[in-house]
Amino acid sequence: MSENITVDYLTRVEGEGAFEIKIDLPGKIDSIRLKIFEPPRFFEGFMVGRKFDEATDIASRICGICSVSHQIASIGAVENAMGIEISEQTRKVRRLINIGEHIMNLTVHVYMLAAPDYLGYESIFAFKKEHLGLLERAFRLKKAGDFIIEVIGGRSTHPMSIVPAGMSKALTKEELDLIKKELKEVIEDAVQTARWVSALELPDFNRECEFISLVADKVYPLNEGSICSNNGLKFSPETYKENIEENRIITNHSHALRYKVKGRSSFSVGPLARVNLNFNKLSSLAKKLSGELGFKFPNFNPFYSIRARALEILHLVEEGIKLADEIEPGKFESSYEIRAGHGFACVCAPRGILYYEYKINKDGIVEYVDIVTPTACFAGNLEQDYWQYVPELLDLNKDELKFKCQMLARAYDPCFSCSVH
Amino acid sequence: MEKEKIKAALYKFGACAGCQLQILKLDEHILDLLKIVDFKYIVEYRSENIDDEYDIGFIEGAITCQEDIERLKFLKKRSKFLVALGACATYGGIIALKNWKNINDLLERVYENKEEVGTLDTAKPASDYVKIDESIYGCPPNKDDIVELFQSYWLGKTPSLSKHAVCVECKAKDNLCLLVHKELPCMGSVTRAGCGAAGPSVGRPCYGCRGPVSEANVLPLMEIFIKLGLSKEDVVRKFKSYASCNSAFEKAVRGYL
Repeated sequence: MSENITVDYLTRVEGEGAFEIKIDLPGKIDSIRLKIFEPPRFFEGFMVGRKFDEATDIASRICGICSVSHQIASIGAVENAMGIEISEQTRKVRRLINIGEHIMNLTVHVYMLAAPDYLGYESIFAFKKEHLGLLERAFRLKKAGDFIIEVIGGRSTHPMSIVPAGMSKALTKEELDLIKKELKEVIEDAVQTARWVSALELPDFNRECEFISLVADKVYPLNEGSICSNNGLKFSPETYKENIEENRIITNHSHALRYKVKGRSSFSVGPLARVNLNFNKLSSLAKKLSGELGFKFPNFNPFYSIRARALEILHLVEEGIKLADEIEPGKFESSYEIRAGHGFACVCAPRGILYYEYKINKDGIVEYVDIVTPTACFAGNLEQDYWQYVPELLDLNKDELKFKCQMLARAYDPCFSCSVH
Repeated sequence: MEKEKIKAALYKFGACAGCQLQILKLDEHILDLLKIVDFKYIVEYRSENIDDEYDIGFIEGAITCQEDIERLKFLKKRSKFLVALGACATYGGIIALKNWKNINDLLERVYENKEEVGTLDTAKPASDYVKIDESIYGCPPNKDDIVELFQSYWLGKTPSLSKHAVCVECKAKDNLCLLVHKELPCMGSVTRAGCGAAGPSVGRPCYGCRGPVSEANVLPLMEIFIKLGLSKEDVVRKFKSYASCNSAFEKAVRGYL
């Protein structure tokens, strides 16, 4: 007797995805398919022939939720290709706008996409009075993140001030002070977030796998360091494709390309990977709180990612305050020449490592672009998780099994639009 | 309140999901909005999505595969009032850049087995397939426009959405005119306002992501850009960006080529 367990349209994740589990005999799984039916948009195709100074604005449109990450990665690859050096000032301002996006993203995931499952709601729209306080906390944190992006970039989705060699707008002292003020007001909310996630009963699931993230010498990485793993990988963006294998043969009309570590298997990226590999770079308050709350890193339970997100939110709020202090108002970009080149960049987007590669000709025209998004990276790993997790759930009724499977997908916080682009 | 809430649905098509995110940008005001709106179908934010008759159906994204044509028609049938939300739904957006390329080239760049890929040759705005009742422009659209739409529907009046050019917003903010004073190729004079002149306010010439203002005088602006030193290819690229489908920008580009 065989049975099909399907969820036709995964909810509370970004983009179009589904899963289908075929069970042959009780207990024997025939196949598990994570099907990403998001229609392809062909960014890597239509960006060819566009100019280097608009590439980043175009690439931003791959994702409305992590537009800043795409811009940071894209501008990094453009500047790498054309040999453009940026000032320390620019580096800090870009890190600050990036921090704003991470705070916003991680908060939206914890409270709006994941929390309903733990509280027994189908969405935040259904929250009853006793849980509105949580939503208010979420809005405060999210607003602080959005505010940073808006002040620096003009608007919080597809901001506009990241340009080759610098930023199009210099920050004033008033703006930096406002950013500091907004962040200081949400430190306590970030602490409470960590306390709140510590009380959640996380589903019990453990599968050792390879985790990949940027790792840097002195900072918690957003756009610094090398690409590393818990299995000994350490490489820089230029050698991304020598280390990560891309599969351009798709099956079942599932439109995202698939990735694995060359010679090995699928891998995970995202907040859990980052904290697993960079715990000691978190702020002392975040580390102290983690210890007090009994968090254990490194951790191989994908559901544990919600705790990683909470620690990151706290760290990034604190770091944002420090950065806003360090940034000198008023100085910005350097000059540059248009020249041909082949450039690479890899940043930590909220959902994991994001890779950009450009070939630019002497007139500044893009001749080749390759983008590897975090969700495309971890889709294979999520599927591998299902192979181990679903057998553990076969005692549950069909609805409960589907629910737990959706929860696992949500723990990864997929962005299927990005994965296909 | 005795009046029944507005039943709303949002369908995502080929999109970056940035448009529907603007609803979340209302933050605590979402709770106010929920007093008059019931989002019955919005898959990214809800787990219980209900196929029903809706008062307002929102279209996010451009239509770029066969299944999405069917889904769009399905939404149209069930919506009293159909709204195209954002640049992709109104003018094709960035993803309509697909239309200016050969689909086989695009497929071959990404996939080894292109026969497995479900895609149309084009990415078109919803209005190519169904009649649209209202359009909210922008990449991203302004969350205030979304609120204005709901409030107007609730009050039974026409929504008040910007019809003037971005220049008005720059003037209101005392921005230095980038075209006149800095000789930068700013598209604000032909672009629909509603973003608060986001680009010029941070020193970036407007790149027209909200699409053309009505009666946009595009060709003369293109000539000005040439005088500023842009090449013909540069000028074409500028107008072949966020609103390259069924718009004054498309017309100007085709006339210019």
